[in-house]
Amino acid sequence: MSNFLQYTVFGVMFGAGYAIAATGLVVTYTTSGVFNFAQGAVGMVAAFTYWQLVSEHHVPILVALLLILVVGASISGALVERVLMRRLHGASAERPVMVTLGLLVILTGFATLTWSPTTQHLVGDMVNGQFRLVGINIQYQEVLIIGVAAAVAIALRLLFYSTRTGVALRAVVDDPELLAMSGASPNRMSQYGWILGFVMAALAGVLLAPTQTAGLSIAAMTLLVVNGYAAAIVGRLRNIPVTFAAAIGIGLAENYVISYLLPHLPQSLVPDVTLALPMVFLFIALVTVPSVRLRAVGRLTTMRAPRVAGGRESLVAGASFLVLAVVAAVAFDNTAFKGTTILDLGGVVMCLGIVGLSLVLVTGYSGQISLCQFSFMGIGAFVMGKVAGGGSLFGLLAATLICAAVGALIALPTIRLRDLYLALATFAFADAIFYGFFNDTHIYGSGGVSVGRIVLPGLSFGGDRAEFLMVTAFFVLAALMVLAIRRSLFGRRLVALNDSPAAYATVGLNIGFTKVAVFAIAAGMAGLAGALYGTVQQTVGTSDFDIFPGIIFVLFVTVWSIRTVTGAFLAALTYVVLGQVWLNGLGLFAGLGIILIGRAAGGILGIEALHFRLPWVKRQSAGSLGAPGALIGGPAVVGGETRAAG
Amino acid sequence: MDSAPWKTRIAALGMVALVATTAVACSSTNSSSTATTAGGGSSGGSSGRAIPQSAFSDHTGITSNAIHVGNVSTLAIGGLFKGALVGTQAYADYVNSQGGVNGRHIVVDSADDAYSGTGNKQATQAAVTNDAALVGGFSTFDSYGGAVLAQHPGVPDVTEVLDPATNKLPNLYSAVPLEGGWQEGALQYFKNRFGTSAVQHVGTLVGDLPSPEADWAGEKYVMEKVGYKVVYEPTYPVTQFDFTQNVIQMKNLGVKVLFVDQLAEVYASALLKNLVQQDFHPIVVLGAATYSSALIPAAGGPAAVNGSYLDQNASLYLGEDQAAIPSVATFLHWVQVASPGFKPDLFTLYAWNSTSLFSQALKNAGTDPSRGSILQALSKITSYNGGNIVTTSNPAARTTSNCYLIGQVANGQWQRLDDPPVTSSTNGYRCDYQYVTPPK
Amino acid sequence: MPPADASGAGTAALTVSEVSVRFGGVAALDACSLTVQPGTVTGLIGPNGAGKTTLFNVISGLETPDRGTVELFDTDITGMKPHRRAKLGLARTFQRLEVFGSLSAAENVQVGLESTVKWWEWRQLRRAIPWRRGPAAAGAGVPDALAPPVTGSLATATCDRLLEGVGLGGLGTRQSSAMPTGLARMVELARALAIGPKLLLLDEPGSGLDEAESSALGDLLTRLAAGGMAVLLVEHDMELVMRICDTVYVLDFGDIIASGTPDQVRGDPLVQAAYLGEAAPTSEAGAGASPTGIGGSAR
Repeated sequence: MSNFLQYTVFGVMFGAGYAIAATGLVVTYTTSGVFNFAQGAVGMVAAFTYWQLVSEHHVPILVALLLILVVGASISGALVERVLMRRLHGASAERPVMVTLGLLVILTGFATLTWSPTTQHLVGDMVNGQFRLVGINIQYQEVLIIGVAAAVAIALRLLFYSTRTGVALRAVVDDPELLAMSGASPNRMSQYGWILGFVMAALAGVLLAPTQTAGLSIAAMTLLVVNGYAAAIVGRLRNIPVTFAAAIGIGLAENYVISYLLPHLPQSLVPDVTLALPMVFLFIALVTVPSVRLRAVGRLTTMRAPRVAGGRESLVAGASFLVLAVVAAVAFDNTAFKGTTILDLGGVVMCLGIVGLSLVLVTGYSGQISLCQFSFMGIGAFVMGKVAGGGSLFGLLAATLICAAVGALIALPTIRLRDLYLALATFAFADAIFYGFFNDTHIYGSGGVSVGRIVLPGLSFGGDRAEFLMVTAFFVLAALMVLAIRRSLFGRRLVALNDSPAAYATVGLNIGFTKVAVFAIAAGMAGLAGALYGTVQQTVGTSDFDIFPGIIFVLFVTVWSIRTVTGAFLAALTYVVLGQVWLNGLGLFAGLGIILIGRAAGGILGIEALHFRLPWVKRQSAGSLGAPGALIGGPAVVGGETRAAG
Repeated sequence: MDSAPWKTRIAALGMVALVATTAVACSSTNSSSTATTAGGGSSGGSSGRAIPQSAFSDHTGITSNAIHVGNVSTLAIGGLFKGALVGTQAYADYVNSQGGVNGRHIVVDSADDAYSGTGNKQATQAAVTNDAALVGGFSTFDSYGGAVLAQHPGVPDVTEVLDPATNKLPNLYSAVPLEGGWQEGALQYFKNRFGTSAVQHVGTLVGDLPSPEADWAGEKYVMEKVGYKVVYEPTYPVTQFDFTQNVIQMKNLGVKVLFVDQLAEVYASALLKNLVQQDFHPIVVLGAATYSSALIPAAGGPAAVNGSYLDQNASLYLGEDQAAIPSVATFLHWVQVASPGFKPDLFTLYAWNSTSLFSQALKNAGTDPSRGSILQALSKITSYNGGNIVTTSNPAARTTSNCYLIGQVANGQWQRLDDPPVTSSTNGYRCDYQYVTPPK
Repeated sequence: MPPADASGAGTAALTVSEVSVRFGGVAALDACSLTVQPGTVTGLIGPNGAGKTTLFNVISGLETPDRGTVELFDTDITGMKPHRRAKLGLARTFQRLEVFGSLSAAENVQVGLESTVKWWEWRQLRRAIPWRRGPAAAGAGVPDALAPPVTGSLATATCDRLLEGVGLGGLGTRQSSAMPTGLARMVELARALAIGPKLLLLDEPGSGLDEAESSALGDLLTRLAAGGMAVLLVEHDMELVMRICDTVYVLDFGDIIASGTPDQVRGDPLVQAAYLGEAAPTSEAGAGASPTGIGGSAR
C-alpha cells in the first residue's frame, strides 16, 4: 500500500509536467485556431535563456522570470502573430501548421548555433529543499510544478469563461463574425492569444528545466511537449480542465505501468516499452476522441491549380530526365563534391525525390500533413537490409508493403478526426520510432544495418554509375505514377477531398477510406525510397532518420511547391546540396523559406512571374479564366438525363 | 537526412558516453578465458594478423621527413569527440618537439565525420587514399569506416573502436584493448573491504545498449564467481535521466553496494543526486566513465559523491596523478599546447595512447617504413602502458592485464586509495588475482 | 400536419420528424417536421439565422440532431454517415460554395458521376496508364487546356450533358474556383445531379444569378420535379420560390411557423410578421399576396 501511494505521488508529479506542456498547446489552439508545433521549441529557448541568465550571469531568479515571461515571451508572441500569422488569412488549411513547423526548425537551428550541445547546461531548482510524504522525499521544485500547473489551469478556465476578454479570445476561433459584431478586434484578440500561448510555452520550459538532471538538451526540451499531446487530444485541444485531468491521469497510468507491469516483462523489452508508452497513450486518446463533424466552411480554393502533365508529355519528360541522368553519370563519375562522390549524392537526391513525391500525393493532393515520411524511409531501409540478404528486389517489395501497412495503421485512428490529428500522430510516431527503433542499437546494431546493392540475374548495380541510374529510374517511375494517379479517378478524388470534405461526403464518397488509402500509398513510396537509400549508402542506421530533418524536408517541398513533381525534385536537390554545404543551416533555410512564401499555396513554382513556357506544351492564355460571367444558356434540357425516376 | 547536429539530443550523447564506459572497463566479444600479467609477453600474436605482401611496398603518406596519419572523429555537434583529435595532435606535437620519429614529423590530417555513418565512410576512404595510417580517431559510427578498413587490410588502424566487427580486423590495434571480462582483483578488494554480507546485496543500472550490456555480463560473471549476489540490475533507456523510482526500488530491495560503472557521467550524476534526495546511502562504486571533472558539480556538490569508490584501469590522468606519474604531466602539458584551454577527457586519453603506440611501432619499423612494416612492428608490441598512464596491456594479442586502480572521492576530490598500501613493483596499480573473461 | 400534397399519397421522399438541434444553450431547430413528396418542388424560406442550413445539414448528415428522426423513402437515416445517404439518393448543394476549387467544372461533375466506382478496379487503374489512354485525356486537371477534358472517363457524355443542362456548356475545362459565384453554383448543382439523386437539397442556388439565369434555373427545377425527383429548395428569391414551389415551409428561430401552398403562405400573418423584422427579400413577393387565410398549421 505504501508502494502504491508512492507510485501515485510520482504519477501526479509526472502528470503535472505533462499538464504544463499540454495546457500551453490548448491555449494557443483555443485562441488562434492554429496548433503551434513550435510550442516546445519556444519553451526550449526560454529554458536555455533562463540557464544563460541564472546559471551563467547569476541574474536573480525572479528577475530572470520577469525578463523571459513578461518581456521576452510576450514580445515574441506578438511579433509572431503580427509578422507571420496575420498574413496567412485565406491560405490553405495546412499553411499555418507549416509556418509553425518553420518556426520550430528556426528556433532549434538558432539554439544549436548558440548553445553548444556538448556543454552541460545544468539548471538548479528554483526552490530548494524537500519534505517527506508517504515514505518518499518530495522536492519543493516538484510541488512548485504541480502548484503552478493547477493554478494556471484554474486561472485560464476563469479567464476564458468569466471575463469579457476571455470570451472574446475564444470567439476568435469559434465565431469571428460574432466577435466582430461585438466590437472587439479579431486581430487584437488573436494577438493576445499568441502572447498568452508564448508565455505558457516559456513558463513550461522554465519550470521543467530543473527537472532535466542531465542538463538541458535542445531536442529533448523541444520534444518534451510531445508527452502532452495525448492529454491535449483528450481535451479535444480546447478544454483546459479536461486536458489537465487527462495529463494527471496519463502520468498516473504511466507510473502504474512502469511500476507494476514492467517488472514482469523480459528485461530487454523494458526500455522499449517505456519509450513507446507516450505513443500508446496518444493512440488511445485518438480513439477515444469523439468524431469531429464535417463542416461546410465555404472555403474556396483561390489558387490556380498547377497544370498536370498529360500522359505523353510526362513520358517524354521522364525519358529526357533519364537521358540527362545518363549524361550526368558519365560526366560526374568519380568526382566528388565537398568530400562526397557526386553520384552518391545524386542517388540520395533521387531517393529524397521519391519521398518528396509521396508528400505531393499525401499533402499536395489530399491536404493531409505527414511528418513521418523519413521514419517510413528508415523502416524501409531496415526491411531492405533484413530481407534476403539485403540486395534483393523482394526487399524493395517488402519495404514498400510493410511501410504501407504501418502507414495505414497510423492513419486509421485519425480518419474520423480533422487532419490536424494526423499531423500530431505522425509527429509523435516519428519521435517514438526514433528512440524506440532507429536509436535502439539492439535492433539497428551499433553500426547500423548493412544493405547490399541490388543484384539481378546477369545484372549488378554494384558500381556507382549503375546504382545512380537505377535509383533515377525508380524516381522517374514514381513521378510517372504520381502524375498518373493525379489524372485518374483516384487523383480527382484526392483533390476533391482536399478542396471540400463536406461536398466530398455528400456526393457519396467515403472520406476515411480515401484518407487511409492515400496515406498508405505515400508511406509505401517513402518505404521504397528508404530501401533505395539503403542500397545507395549500403549501411544505414541510428541517426539517419531523425524527426527534425524530416520536418525540414517537408518544408523544402512546400517552399518549392508541394503540388508538383518538379517541386519534389527541386526540394530534394536543394536539400542535399545545401546540406552538403552548410548542414546546420538547413533548418534556417527551410524556416525562412516557408515564412517568405507565406500563403502562396503554389510555393516558388507557383509564382506566375517565374513561369516560362515549355516549347512542347500547349497552353491557353490565362485570359479565359477571368472571363466575365457567362450566361446560363437558354432553356436547359436535363430532366430526361437524370437517373432519378421517382 | 544526413544528420544535422541538433539531432544528436542528449540521448545520442548519452549513448556515446555509455558506450565509452566499455573501452576502459573492457568489453566486447572475443574471449579466451586467459589471464595475462603485466608485461607478460604472452604469445605476441601474429595469429590472425596476416599482413598483405603489397603493404610492404606501400609508402602512401610517407615522405622523407613526414608521415601523414588520418584522424577521423566526430567534431560536429560542438566538438563531440574533439578530444580524440586533440589527444592525437598533442602526442604528435610532443614527438615532433623531440625531432619526430626517425627524422619524420607526424602530420595529423583531421577529418570530421559530421556525426554520420556516410561521413565516417567517406573520411576513412579519404584517409586510406592519402595517409599512411589511421590514428586516434573516435566515432560512434566507426563501423562505417571499419567496412572500408576491412577492404584494405594493409592500412594500419591504431584506434579505440566500438564496433565489434571492426575490433576484430587484423589491421586494428588498440592501446587499451577491449576484452569482455573483469579484473577479479578489484572485486576481491571490494569484497574484503565491504564484507561478505554487503556484496550479497549488489545493485546496478545498465544502459540499454549492446556494449554496456555485454560489459555488464562480463562483470557480473566475475562478481558471481567471487561470491557476490546481484539483486537489482534493470536496463534503462538512454533517454532516462531520472532514477528516483529505481532508487526507491533499490531501497525496498535492500541494496547495500551500488555499482555505478555501467553508466556514463551524465547518468551517474543524476543517479547520485536522486540517492541524496531519497536519503538512500548505499556504498557506491564508480567506474571509468564517471571519472570526470563534471561529475561532482553535476551531482549537486561533493556531499553526493564523497566516499564513493572508483575502479578503473587508468591513472587519475585528469591531474591528481601528475606528480606521481610523469607521463600524466606530459599528457596534460601537450594537450594544452595542442588546444589551449581544452579540458581533457577519456577520448583525449585514448587518442594520446593510440598515437603513442603508433609512434612506438613507427620507430621500430626503421628508417624506411611502409604500411606493411608498421603493421609488422605493431604486431610485435606485446606490452604497452604509455609510461603508466594506463595499466599494461598487450595490443598485439588484444588482451589487457589483471591490474587496476582503486580510488575514492574525498572532500570533493578524486584520489588514490592506498589502503592497504600498493606495492611499488606494480607501478602504483594493484595487480593481483587474474583478469577473468566468461566462457563462451 | 403537412398539407396534403398535390401528387397524392404514397411514400414521401423525405420525412423530417420533430428534429431538434441545440448549439450551446440556443435552439437552432426546435422540433421541426416537414415532408417532401417525390415529383414536387418544396420551398423552405425564412429569415437569416432561422435554421434553414442547419436543417439541411441534419438531413444530409453533416449535423446530428439532438432529437427527432429523418427518413428517406421510409429508411431511417438519422444516424447515417453523409456518404451513405448520398448512395441512397440524397444530394445537396451549399449556401457557401463547396465546389472542388482546384478541379475544372467538368471534373467536379465527374467526381459525382464516378462516385460509385471503385478506384482500385483494374479498368480504372488502366486508364491512368499513359499509353492506354487517348491523348485528349491529358486535359484532365488542366483548367486551361483546350482539349475536351474527359474523353477517357466513364461517363463523358453524361458529364457534358449535365454541364449543358445547367447552362455551362463549353465551360467544362475552367477551374471552378475561378468562376463567378453564379456559375460555380451551377457546377455544384450539376455535381449534385451527377449522383442521380432522388432527393435534391438546394441551398440558395439562385443567389448570384441574374433574372434570366434565375428564370432558367426555375425551369430546370420544374423539369427535374416533373421527372419524378423530389426537390427541397432554400431560397431568398421569393419570386422564384412562389413560382415553382408546390409547397412552402416557413422557418423562423428554429420553428416551422407556417406551411402550405405559396399562396397560403404568402398571406400568413405570422410569416409577414417574421419577415417584417427582416429587411428586403419579400417586398415584391408580398405584392401579389392574396389574403387567403392560413393554409398550413401554425405552430
